[in-house]
Amino acid sequence: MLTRFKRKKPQNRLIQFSFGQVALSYLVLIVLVILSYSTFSASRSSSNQRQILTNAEAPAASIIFTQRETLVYTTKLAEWTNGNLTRREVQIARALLAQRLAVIDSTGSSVGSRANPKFFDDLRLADEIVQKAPADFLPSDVHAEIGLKIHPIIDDIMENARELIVSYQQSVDQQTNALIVTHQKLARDNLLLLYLFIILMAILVAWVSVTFTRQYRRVRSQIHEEATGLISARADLLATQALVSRLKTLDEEKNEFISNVNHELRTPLTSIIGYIDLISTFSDENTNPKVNEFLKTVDRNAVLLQDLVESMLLISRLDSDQSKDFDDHVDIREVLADTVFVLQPSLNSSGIKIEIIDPDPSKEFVIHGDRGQVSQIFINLIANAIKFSPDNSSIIVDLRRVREENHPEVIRISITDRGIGIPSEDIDKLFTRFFRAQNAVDDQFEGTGLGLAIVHKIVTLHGGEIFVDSQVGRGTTMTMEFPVTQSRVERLVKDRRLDVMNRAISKMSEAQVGDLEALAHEMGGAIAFYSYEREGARLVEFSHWLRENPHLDHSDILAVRDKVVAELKKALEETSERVEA
Amino acid sequence: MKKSARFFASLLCVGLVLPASAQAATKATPTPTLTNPYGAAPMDPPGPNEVLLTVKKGTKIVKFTMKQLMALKPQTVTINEPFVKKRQSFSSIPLSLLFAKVGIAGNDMVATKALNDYIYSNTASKFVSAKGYLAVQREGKDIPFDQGGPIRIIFPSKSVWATFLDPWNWSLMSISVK
Repeated sequence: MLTRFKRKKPQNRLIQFSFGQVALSYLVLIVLVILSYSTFSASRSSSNQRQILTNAEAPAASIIFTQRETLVYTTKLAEWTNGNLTRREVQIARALLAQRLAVIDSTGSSVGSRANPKFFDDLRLADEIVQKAPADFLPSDVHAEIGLKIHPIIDDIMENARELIVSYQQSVDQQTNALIVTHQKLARDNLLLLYLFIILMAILVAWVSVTFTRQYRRVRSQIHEEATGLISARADLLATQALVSRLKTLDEEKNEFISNVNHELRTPLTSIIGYIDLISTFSDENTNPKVNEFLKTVDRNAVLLQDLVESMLLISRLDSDQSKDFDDHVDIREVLADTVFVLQPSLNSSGIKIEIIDPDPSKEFVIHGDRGQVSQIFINLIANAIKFSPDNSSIIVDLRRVREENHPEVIRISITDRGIGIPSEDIDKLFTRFFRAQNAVDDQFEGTGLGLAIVHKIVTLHGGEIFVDSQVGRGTTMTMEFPVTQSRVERLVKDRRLDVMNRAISKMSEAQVGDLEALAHEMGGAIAFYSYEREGARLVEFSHWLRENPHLDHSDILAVRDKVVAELKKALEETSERVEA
Repeated sequence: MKKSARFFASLLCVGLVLPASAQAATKATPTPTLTNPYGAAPMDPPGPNEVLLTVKKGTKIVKFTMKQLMALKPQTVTINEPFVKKRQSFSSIPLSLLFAKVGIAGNDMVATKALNDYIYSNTASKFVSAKGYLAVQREGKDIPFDQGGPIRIIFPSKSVWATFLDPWNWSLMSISVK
């Protein structure tokens, strides 16, 4: 038995993520974004820190230079009071100190703005003393006096300069420390975010890995299962093929066996029947009536056995000829006539008449097949009809060519009898070998149960179908349908039809008026033969009209001629359209 | 030394002068003026032979008084002064001219030194290609000591050193080759 292998519906995606994994992925993404922003901020902060540290370096340098200029100024001031320098040199040092104090850094503050006001008071006091003093070198007599005034001021200036430097340094330190704290906080936050990111990422990777592994195993299992199923299916298929092959061989052997057996049976049967006939000829009034009765029984059963053997032989042959290509054209009418002739003795003895209904004798009833087999169909069916019909009744054989909508034309043959009919429950089994309808058995009608099976087999082999319509006590109609096969004449007519009409149109159009009468008559007959009956009749009528009116004007004749030719052309167009369709 | 010079140059990045009061100066951005709020009283005039600039290469030394510098026929150079952020005109002498006085050229490592000992060093060719000038007057007047005078180095607006402030040496004292 072939194992039914059901293929599982493939999943759309090999790997699927759960909602939790997707949510966690988004969370990881969010943390990554925050971490990136934070890192960027820290980087910017670090950059700012470097900038501020750089800016802090500048004030530090400025402080150093301020301290230097202050020292230079105060030193020169002291040397001036000792008479070692000119007043201009002190003034230059003072100007350079002012230059230094006026320098503005990136914060917008000047160095001087950070100094104690006392620092400037002292500078102004020193400036006044210097300004009031004599120009050039200071005279020695005022050294002590001015020195007394200037030295405390120098001390104050130095002290205030020191405070300025300290406060400036503290300010720078505060800025630096604040930046360091901020930077450390950012770094700590970044580290925490990084830890969080790593933990979440690790969880996600682990989770997804586990899921992937499971899904991978499941898919692998599915593939394995499918492969196993395919292997099993293949094995089943091979086994089935072997079984079919074996059955075919057995069938052939069976047919050969039956054929051989039948042949072996037919020979002695023929001899038996012959001798029975011979014995019957010796029978006379002196013969024991019992003997005659026994002889008849033997003869009847021998004939029945012979029928059975013949039938089995035939059906065996039909089974062997499944793919036989038929190359004969079988005329149903001829076969039917032969069948009636063969069965005439039976018809005569029972007083049954065959009534053939053939409504369209012009149409051919030709099928492609084997004449002998087709004859067997009619013999079996009509013989059955005779057997089951009451004496002196009629058997109706109806021949028709039928074209139903959307179906090709078929030859339909119906054989109707007024016999015992077939029970409806037996109709389906009627064509089964050795099956006999129950009422036929009950009424002791002789038969092998193979006749209708043979009919069905032959009809099927000829591409036909057979239907049964029967009512018990009312009779039976066996209807067969065969595909229409064109006879040689039909094919010839069809092939040449258009050519003939074309030639008729051409000749009629080109003919002289004097030739028209004979030509119309000739062409009318020709196209009528090729199934243009109406147009043929029209031409013949035109010919008669010409003969009966010999003095017509040529123009009148040609006008009628043109009209007739137009009708021919129209018929030709219709034929062409049908052919194309 | 070089690092100190860079620090010093960065200190000069905004301006020379401040508003009148120190308190106001802590709030306001620098407003360029031609006075220094921390400046002193008027100065004594320089002596007739007071040397403002010394140019030296090896044993060759040339000293310039203001009069001698003015004798070199300074040309007017108008620049975007980067410290006061203002267009200013300076009477200036090309450094190349001063270099030529003592034969400074090419790859000579030139050191420009200020009165406060700030020093900037680079090759002579760099100074020349940057079209450096020695400014001796600003807007037709002497440049005060407390505003970077009396002489200073400037560069034209299209110079490669127009915004590189380290070489803009104030209160220049000497130019020498190391």
